[in-house]
Order: sequence, then C-alpha cells, then structure tokens
Amino acid sequence: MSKEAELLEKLQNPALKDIAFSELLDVYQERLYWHIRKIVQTHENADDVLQNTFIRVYKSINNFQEKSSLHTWMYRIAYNESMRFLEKNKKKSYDNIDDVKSSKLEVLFEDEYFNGDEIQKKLHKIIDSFTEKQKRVFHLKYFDDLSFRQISELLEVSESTLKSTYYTAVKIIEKKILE
Amino acid sequence: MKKNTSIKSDKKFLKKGISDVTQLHKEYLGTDIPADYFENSKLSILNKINSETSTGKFLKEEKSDITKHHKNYLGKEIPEDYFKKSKSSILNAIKEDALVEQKPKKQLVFYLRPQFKFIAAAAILFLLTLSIWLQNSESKNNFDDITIEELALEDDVLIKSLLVEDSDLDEFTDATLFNEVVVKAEIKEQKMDDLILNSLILEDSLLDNYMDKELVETIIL
Repeated sequence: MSKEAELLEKLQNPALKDIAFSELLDVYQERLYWHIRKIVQTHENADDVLQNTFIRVYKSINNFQEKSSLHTWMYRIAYNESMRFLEKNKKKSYDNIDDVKSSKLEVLFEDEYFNGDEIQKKLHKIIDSFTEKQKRVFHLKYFDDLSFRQISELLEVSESTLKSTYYTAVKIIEKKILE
Repeated sequence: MKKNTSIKSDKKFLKKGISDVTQLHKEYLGTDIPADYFENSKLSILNKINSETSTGKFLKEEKSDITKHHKNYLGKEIPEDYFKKSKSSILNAIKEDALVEQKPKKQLVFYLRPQFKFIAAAAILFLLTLSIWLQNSESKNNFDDITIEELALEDDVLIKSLLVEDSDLDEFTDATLFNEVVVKAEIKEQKMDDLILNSLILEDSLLDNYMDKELVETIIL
C-alpha cells in the first residue's frame, strides 16, 4: 500500500483521523501554501486560504471518492479556495485588464514578505504576461515541482499539451529575462 | 688534481629557486605563451560562465527546497517558523469547529415557535367569531326553542295554543291549568300575606286606599 493510500485509510478512520491529519499537514502544508500564495500573492492572504483549505479537507475527507489521488484532490481544493478568495476580494473599479494585472503586481511588490530584487520583479512581470493556462502550468511544473503526469491529472489536460505549454513558457522567460 | 667544475656545473642544470612557473617552463621546456595570456584568459573564462548562465540556464533544474526556491526566484519570503505555527493554528481551528458542532442546538419553547404563533392567532380569531355568532343566534326569537311550560305561562293562552303541536296539546293543557289555578293562586295568597303584614303598620284610614279591587275579589273568592 502506498504512503498516500495508507494516510487516506487513517484519515477515514475516526479513531486515527486526528493523528493522520497532523501527518497530512506535515507532508502537504508547505507545498499547498506556495501553490496558494502564487495565486493570492501576499503571505497574509495565503495564510487565510491555507487554513480554509485544510479545514475543508478535514471536513470532506470522508466524502473523498478516490476518483483522483489525494494529492490532486487537495490541490484542487486549494485552487478553488484561492479563486473563491479572489472573487470575494476583487475590486470592481478597473477600466481594463492591464490595470488589474499591474494592481496585482503592486500588491505583491508592496507585501511585507516580498523581498525581490530587480531580476525577480522582472520574472514576476514576465510570468504575469502569460495566459492563465501557461501561468498555471509553469508554476505547477517549475515551482511546485509536480510531474507532467500529476499536472495532467489535476488540470485534465494531456501531457503532450502540458509539455508544449511549459517549454514555450520557459523559452519566453529565458529570452525576456536578458532584455 | 683539480676537480672538473664543468661537471659540477652540469649537475646544476635543473636550477632551483625559480619561482616563476612560466619562466621555468619557458627555460626548460621551450614552451611559450602569448603576451598577457593569463589576464586575457581570466576574462575569457568569466565571459564564458556569464554567457552560459544567460542562455537557457536562468531557470535552474537543480532546485533547493521549495521555500528557498520561491525566495531565490520570486523574492517571496515567509515569517520564521511559519509552517510550525500554521499547523498549530489549523489544528486549533478544527478543534474549535468540532466543539461548535457538538453544542446542542438551542430549542425554541413550543409556544414561541413562529408556526405556533400563527396557529394560536388563527384559533383566537375563530373563537371570537364563533362567540359573536353564537350570541347573535341566541338572541333570535326561535319558536322551536320555547318550551311548553313557557308557552303556558303566557297570558294569551288561546294565541299561544296555536303554536303548540297537536301531539303536545295535552301537555300544554296540563301546564296551562297548573299555571292558571295553582301558580296564580299561590301568587295571590302571597300578596294577601304581604297585605296583612303591611296593614298592621298602616292607619285604618289608609286601609281602604290600600285595598285594591283585585284584592277584594281575592278575599271574596
């Protein structure tokens, strides 16, 4: 039995649930935090969403039907919670999409826990210019270190499409970072 | 015999004390290098290194741990011991949530429930309407409700006898007879007793006035 399957079995056992949940936090907390933070930008927002995500996981674990891996299921919850957070907090006073993007970057650069230099800020701007799909794939592959197979399961997109998307994104970054 | 100094000098072919490696190589091996070679070479190596990092190698494949990687590339930091504190916070939030769910839900007293209020109001309204209707219906002169005895007590016996059913006529007759003879006689006797009592305190001269026609008839009859 894989580690994930073993953990899942414990999580669905009322007598072992709390201990297993503590283990789950140890394994997934950091990964999910960074996944969330790249969506919601600031540490404070990521902290809120992370807590909501794990509470939702705890409450819903008995309803988990194993149609996907536990890992994928948790990533989906994290993504949905992040989107819900953004939807709840979005400002409505923008004239165009560029205003939205620049505002998001401003928020990021002004965050107490952002300490990037010019190169890092430049990288943010390049990634921000991607389509949502490119952005997600690049983040999941490069920064979250998921395999193409895992990303394919999560996004329900073929691995070949993902590879193409990812390597295009890498080329754009490598080219633009030197400009 | 004098020693051959040339032989001695041949043994010192490999001179010691030459610190300059380049000079040594040049002197013994005949190998030469271009002028300012090492200085140029240094620059060349540095340039090559720089060029390697700037063409396709910005995004390094070898990654350090995920948090360091985010810091190095995205400039994003987290507070010290964040994940440890976050874990405690999440576990506490879940415990609090579980406690809230376990608390028994406040149960409304039956008569304070909204549905009951509506039912009570409707019942009160119904009772009120019913009582008003009943009052109205009782005040009506319904001949069917009048008993035979009541009819018999009426003065106009002949007219009232028309209201009596044929099957109840005997009863009506008995009641009338009883009423006319027995009851009225008793009433008059009572009046007589009252008169006698009153006469005891009245003057004789007032006695004639007091005595009415009916009373004389009563006494005589």
